[in-house]
Amino acid sequence: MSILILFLGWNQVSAQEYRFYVQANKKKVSMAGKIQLTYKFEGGRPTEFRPPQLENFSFFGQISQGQETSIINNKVSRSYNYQITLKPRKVGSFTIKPAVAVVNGIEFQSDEITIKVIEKTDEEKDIQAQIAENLFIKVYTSKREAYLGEQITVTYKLFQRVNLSGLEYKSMPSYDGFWKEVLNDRKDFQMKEEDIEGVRYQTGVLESVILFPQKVGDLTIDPFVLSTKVPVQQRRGRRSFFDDFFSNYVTYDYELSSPILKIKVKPLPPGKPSDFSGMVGKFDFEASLTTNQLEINDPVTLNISVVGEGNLKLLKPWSIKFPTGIEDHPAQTHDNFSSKGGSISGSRRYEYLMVPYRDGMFKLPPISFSYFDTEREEYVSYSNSDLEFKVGKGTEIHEGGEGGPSFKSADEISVLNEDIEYIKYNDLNLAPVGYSPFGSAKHIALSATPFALLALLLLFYKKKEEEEQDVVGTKRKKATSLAQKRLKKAHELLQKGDSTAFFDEVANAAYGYLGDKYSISNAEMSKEKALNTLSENHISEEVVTLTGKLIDECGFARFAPGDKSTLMQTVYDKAVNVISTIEASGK
Amino acid sequence: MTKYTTILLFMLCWFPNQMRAQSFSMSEALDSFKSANDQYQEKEFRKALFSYKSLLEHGYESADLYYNLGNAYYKLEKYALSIWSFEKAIMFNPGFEEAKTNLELANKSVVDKVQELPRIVWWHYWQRFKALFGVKGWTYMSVIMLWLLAAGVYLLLTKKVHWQKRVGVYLSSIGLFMAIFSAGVAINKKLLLQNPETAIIISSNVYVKSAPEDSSADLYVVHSGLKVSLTDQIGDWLKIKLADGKTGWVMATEMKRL
Repeated sequence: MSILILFLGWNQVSAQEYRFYVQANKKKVSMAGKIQLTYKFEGGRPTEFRPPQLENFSFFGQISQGQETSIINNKVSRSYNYQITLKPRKVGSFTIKPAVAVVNGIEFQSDEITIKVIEKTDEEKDIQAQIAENLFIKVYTSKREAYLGEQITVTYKLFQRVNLSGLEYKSMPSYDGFWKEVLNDRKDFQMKEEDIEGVRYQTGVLESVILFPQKVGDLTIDPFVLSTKVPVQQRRGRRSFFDDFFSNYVTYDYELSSPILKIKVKPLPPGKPSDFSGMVGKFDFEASLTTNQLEINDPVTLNISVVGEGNLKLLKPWSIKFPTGIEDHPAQTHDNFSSKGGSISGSRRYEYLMVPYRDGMFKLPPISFSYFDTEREEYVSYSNSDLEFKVGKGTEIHEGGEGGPSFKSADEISVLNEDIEYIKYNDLNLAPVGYSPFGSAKHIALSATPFALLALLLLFYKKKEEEEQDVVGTKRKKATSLAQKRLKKAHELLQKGDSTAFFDEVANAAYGYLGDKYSISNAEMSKEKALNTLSENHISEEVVTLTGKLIDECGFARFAPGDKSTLMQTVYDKAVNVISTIEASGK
Repeated sequence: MTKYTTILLFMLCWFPNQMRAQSFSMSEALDSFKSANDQYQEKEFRKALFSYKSLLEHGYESADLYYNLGNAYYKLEKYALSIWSFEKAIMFNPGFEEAKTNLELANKSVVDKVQELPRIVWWHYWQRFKALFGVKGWTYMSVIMLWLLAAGVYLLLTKKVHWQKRVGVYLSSIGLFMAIFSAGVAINKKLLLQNPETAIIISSNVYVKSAPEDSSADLYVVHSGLKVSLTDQIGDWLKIKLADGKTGWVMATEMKRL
């Protein structure tokens, strides 16, 4: 077999010794065949190799790397080779774009190469059809349409009637959009004989999984792809007698792939119960207490179990608000699952251990569970609300105990739920928008009132003061007239000019006045007594002195020589003044 | 004397006139407030909300009304608007304990946690002091102080005994100072109510821009329920400031002013 080597020019970029070029093992390939491209780099060691972007070919296998040293004309040249294998996708003539190699940070492009892809030859078609008949993968699925979270069993099974040499897993389904539980995989692969409609096959389960759809829509599961080498009898154009004799087998690279599986995932219907947490299938639910009569510090267990078929492994423990007075422990999970018959069924049980440290009745909040029943296509809810137990006081004294009864400190009031305060219902208030108490008529009125009141009060005060002054005036007037009445006789004597009698009368009148006013009897009356009495009654010093002088003057004047008419007049005025002043003082 | 009577009558007439500007009377408004509360009690939150809002549209407001409105929003899970209502209730009545409790609960829905810038202690004291009373309280306080001032002046002018005059001087100076001070606080609070400097973000998420135009850079994102201060306005754009000091521009439609 001749290998055609294509030299497709030098790389232009490397002016010195750099060369980056591509070689193909053939320039024509059939749809059933494969082509090998070798990229060679001379003059340096590439740090990176980027294979060409492919449109009409797909990669088969991985890039293989190698080194090659050759000596031509005493010259050593070393090349770094990158080999890729391609499978054609379309018939036609296609140019493969350059690959890129990076050396010392500089990018080099290889040359391009043109490959011709031809139809499968009849022979090849024949061979492939023959293989496909005897070697295939079948996929079994329990459902093609499922609700979100509903379990689906998918099994890939290999059927063969030819001898294989080597079985390579090329690609496996990734089950995007599903939560999977593996039943059988590569490790469990076993071949056995099976009769299918009278034909004997070697069969083996490649993979078997249970899928739980996690999103809604048409989900596609990529195929299971295997590659293998199948021995095929070479047929020549002409049949010869020796054909069977010298049957000429060649190994044929064959890639077999399972059908692409499409599953339609329907959303769950509306009307989800509030406690729905995504459980889909068919379940039974039970919540129970191990006892309902116990003593302080005795344990009691709350068991919540869900039994059935479905995505039970996705169930999460309940978060329960235990009443105060209970020491609670985190939930213990007990699982018992089996996947017989291609579906997962079993039970999950949560154990909540509680130890009460107070006595009394305890009531647990209702525990509910709901799921979507795929058979009945409706939501099913369970609830258990009568989880109660009574705790007795127990023996509080521990015999020979070290600690004695275990008391817990007082608990804070436990908050069961948080909610907003209720609306205001009574004593409602409303005001026009934009109404502000500041600057309102009421405000102005209330602010102005004290000053108006102040003004009024001040006016009133002033008037009263004036009136008070008037009262002093009238008092004075009255006092003067009283003094004049007292001194009436003296006045008459003054007119007559009888000086002796006049001075006596003035003194008498003064004594008489003071005696009447301060209740001093005639016998007690004396100048000292009169002056003392005045002082005792808080009459000002000045008036007291004046009074004393007046009495003295009256005594002396009788014996004074000369004309007494002017003196009489002065004494009279003085007397009037003293009496009216004392009277007006009101003391 | 007739002159004073006319002034008095004028004042009496002026007061009710101010209220008649509303489309229905105070007693009608109170009745519809009560029936809205009945709807709330029957868990008809949507209807109750509608009634509360129509009261606002008819030109009535009060701390109670905003508080109940906030509750209705809360029950309908419109947390940002309930935050707005509770904040409003507290603005009208700073001592409204229930509103404060509910605001705290509603604020749990806010996703943005803004670190408040540290301020001097006195600023906090001053804010707390101002929050002792609402506009009404401070107005009453200034009125009481004016009465005190008048009483002091009276004592000062009419009493002749020394200690009485001294009391008068004290009363009038305290009264004068406190009256001016309280009136100042009342005016400050009244202006804040009429021209609010804060707002609540209403849209579920808002890109805060670096400039008041759509094409400007996005600085950061805020979410519904966040309280922001307003510092400037250009057209429909408002400049906001967060408690941590970040600023930026947001369209006025994205928020509701308090």
